[in-house]
Amino acid sequence: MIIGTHRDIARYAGSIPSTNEIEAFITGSEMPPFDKWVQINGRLKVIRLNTFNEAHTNFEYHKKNIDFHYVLKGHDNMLVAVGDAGLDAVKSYDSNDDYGLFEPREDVTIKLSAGQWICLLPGELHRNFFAEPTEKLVFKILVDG
Amino acid sequence: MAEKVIACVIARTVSKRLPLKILRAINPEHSMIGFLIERLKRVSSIDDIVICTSVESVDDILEDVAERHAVKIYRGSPDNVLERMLQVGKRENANILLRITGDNPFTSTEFIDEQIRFLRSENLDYVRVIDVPVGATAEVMKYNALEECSRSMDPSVSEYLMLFMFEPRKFKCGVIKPFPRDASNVSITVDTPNDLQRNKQILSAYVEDSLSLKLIDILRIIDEQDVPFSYIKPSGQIKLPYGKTVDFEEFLADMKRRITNSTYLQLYEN
Repeated sequence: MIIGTHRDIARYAGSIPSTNEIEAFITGSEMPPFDKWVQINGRLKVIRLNTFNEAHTNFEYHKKNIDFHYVLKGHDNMLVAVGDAGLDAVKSYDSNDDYGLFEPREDVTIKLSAGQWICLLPGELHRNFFAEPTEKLVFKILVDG
Repeated sequence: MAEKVIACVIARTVSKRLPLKILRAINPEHSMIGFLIERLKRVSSIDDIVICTSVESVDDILEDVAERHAVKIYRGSPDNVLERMLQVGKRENANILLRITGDNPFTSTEFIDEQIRFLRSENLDYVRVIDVPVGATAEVMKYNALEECSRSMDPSVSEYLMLFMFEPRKFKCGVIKPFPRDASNVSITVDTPNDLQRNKQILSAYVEDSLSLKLIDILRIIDEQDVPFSYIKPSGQIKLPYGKTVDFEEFLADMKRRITNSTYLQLYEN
């Protein structure tokens, strides 16, 4: 995982794909409707989420996409697993959805405020916990496929 | 005039086995490279810290890392580590250089003052800590010795600088043994996702101020928690210049030859 603030996004242009497009989307566009994926280009899509009091128990992971979570309002508690050694899969990886689930385990909590982001690279196990009304954008950056 | 000591943090964002590894968070507060830099800042003998990276755009973000942590940055050859270190030494007018790589966040900063003192007192060219895990020792060297090394060294293999500088046949080398245990079969370097997981587990088990983590704590946590991916198999392969590899045991035998012919300092009583 890589953590940053709004001012950092474009600085990752050389090292994380599509960060220029993400930065332009956040600063320039009207926000998309809630809960609906919007395809920005062939390798980048975004969804706007509005969540509260929701906790995901299991850890999800992806193999083909980088997840880029950008907080618009409130606080997003991102729980990231310390590792995946010896974990049992709750849902085996589905390459069509680029999605798999692992059982809960020890984790660290990253509390993100509005204007902050977390980038989860392929294979990094993560889950969310929202303790207050939170609005965020989740970008999926296709890096393999 | 006092000798100037510069810590060169050798860092690139590209990595085949763990892309962007040095930027990845090792705990909620720090990226791997940020953690390393903040630990180095606590070493009193170091005058300045310089991130030594490449001119390539993939490493642009390290400008931001340098700014955030208020350290200097030098951008030079993508492949020639030696060139980057020599340029930094020249620009900073340094007498002593430290080579620390960004993928070693657990570099044992607690021994650096002693390494520098030993280099000065014995008028050595190069000092490292021995019988410690892979990824634990900083390398301390005289700028002049590095310059001399560069004259006879193929720059394309400068990633393996240790093999050329830690050579008692050519340089006055010194070694420091910090404790009786030989922990050279342990690894705390980060090359793969499993390595990162191991270091995160170690750090999450350390309840004090994370930046104060010492090698003795790391070894204790590895032992107590049986932390996975901590031990190197004797049959494990060590990479050498020009695509060659050698068994870890064979590599240790060669290191023993170098150690035996170096000036020795022990930090504990028998």
